[in-house]
Amino acid sequence: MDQLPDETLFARLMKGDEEALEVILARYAQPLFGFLWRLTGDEALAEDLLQEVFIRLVTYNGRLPAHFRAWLYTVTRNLAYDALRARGRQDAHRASSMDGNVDEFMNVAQKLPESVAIGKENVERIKRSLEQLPDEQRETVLLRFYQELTLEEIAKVTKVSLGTVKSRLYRALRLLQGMLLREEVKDER
Amino acid sequence: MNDKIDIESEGSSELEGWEQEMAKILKKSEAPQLPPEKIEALLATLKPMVTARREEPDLNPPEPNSRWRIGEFLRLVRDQASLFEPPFWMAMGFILLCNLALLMSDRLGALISMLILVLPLFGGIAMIYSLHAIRGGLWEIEQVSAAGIHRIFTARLLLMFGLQLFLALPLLLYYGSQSGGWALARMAVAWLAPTVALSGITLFLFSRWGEWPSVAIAVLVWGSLILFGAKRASFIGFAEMILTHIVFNPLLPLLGALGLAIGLIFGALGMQKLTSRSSIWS
Repeated sequence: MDQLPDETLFARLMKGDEEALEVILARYAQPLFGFLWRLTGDEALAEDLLQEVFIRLVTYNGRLPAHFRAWLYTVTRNLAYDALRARGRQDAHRASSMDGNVDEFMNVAQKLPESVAIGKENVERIKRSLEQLPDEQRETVLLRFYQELTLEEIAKVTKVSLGTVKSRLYRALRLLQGMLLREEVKDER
Repeated sequence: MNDKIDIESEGSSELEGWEQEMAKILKKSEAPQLPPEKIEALLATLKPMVTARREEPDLNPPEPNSRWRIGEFLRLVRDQASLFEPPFWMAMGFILLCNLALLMSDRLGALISMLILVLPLFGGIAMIYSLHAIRGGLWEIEQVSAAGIHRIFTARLLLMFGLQLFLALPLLLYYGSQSGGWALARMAVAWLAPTVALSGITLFLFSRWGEWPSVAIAVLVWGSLILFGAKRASFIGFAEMILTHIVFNPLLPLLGALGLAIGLIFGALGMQKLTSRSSIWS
């Protein structure tokens, strides 16, 4: 059962196979929780949303998705954004203010608030830098590096072209690099 | 724009190297682990829901057959007739009787009025009638049927056109037998173009605003055109005026093509709008 592809497992789950549910849960509970936590920045909310995702999964009555993993991340992403919108925590200003070219992004990175703490652990630094990214770039980075989705899968999940995914990823990396470098310089001072 | 292309191409070429390095850095930030007891609790919540699925009928919509077999399609067309209730067949029968009476009385003016003025409007209203059942939940059932929504929709349109042809054909043939093939062709265009145009427009209106507004607009617009034409000619000479246009107007083929194009474009837009509701399942 562990070796079966996601789509087969999901088909079995839809027919009431509990074992298929266990395998899907073992495969995806932790990665999805991590994804939700990084998207929302709230552990309790991430737990609630994870439960909601799996309830949607086990009560789903539509056609079997052709690509389960991309479909699952699409559902998860949509639920997360709905929840964030409901809580009014999505930073629309941040998402829209960085839609320029790389140089502009780098300028934004240079203008990070002085309150960024010096001497914090790398983990905190990365987390903070990720949070500074525009939403569409941040989710692309999360899906690529933490969820290890292929670029094609990310394009499906985020409903954009492959070229846009590449562009977003590249811009996000450049921006992240700028942010991390800046903090390193601060540390050295 | 060039800037964007440069960025994208630069991004594509450097992505591999970037990924290697950044992945290592980013991996340093690990998400908190979901405690095993929480996964167990989630599993316990979900299991009864999964077990309950065994008792459910299979609600997963079957995939429509990819091949269109003629016999099956014709049966589908025939089955669409079951949607029409007695009042529709009574209206059809009434028009048919009128047509027969016109043929027997040999009244050319009334025959033309029926063919050019009445039948297109009946076609538009019948189009809405054939679709009104979908408002009562039938659409959702059709969406999950094995035939597929596009095939059902096409079958319904074909049936409607067949019924229109059934009503118009005797009149056209009679007119053709009296006036010759060339006149028959022009008369066919004069009947077909407004029929298709009005059907397409009503389908479009129906897809946006439902049955009553679309019927009202169709009747209003078509009725206004008729009244406008009748006002220009004396009412008795109206049919003769139409006939003159059909026989002599050099723009008839162009107007006919325009009517067909309008009908097909609006019909396609309406069909697209209606069938796109199938996305609720995805």
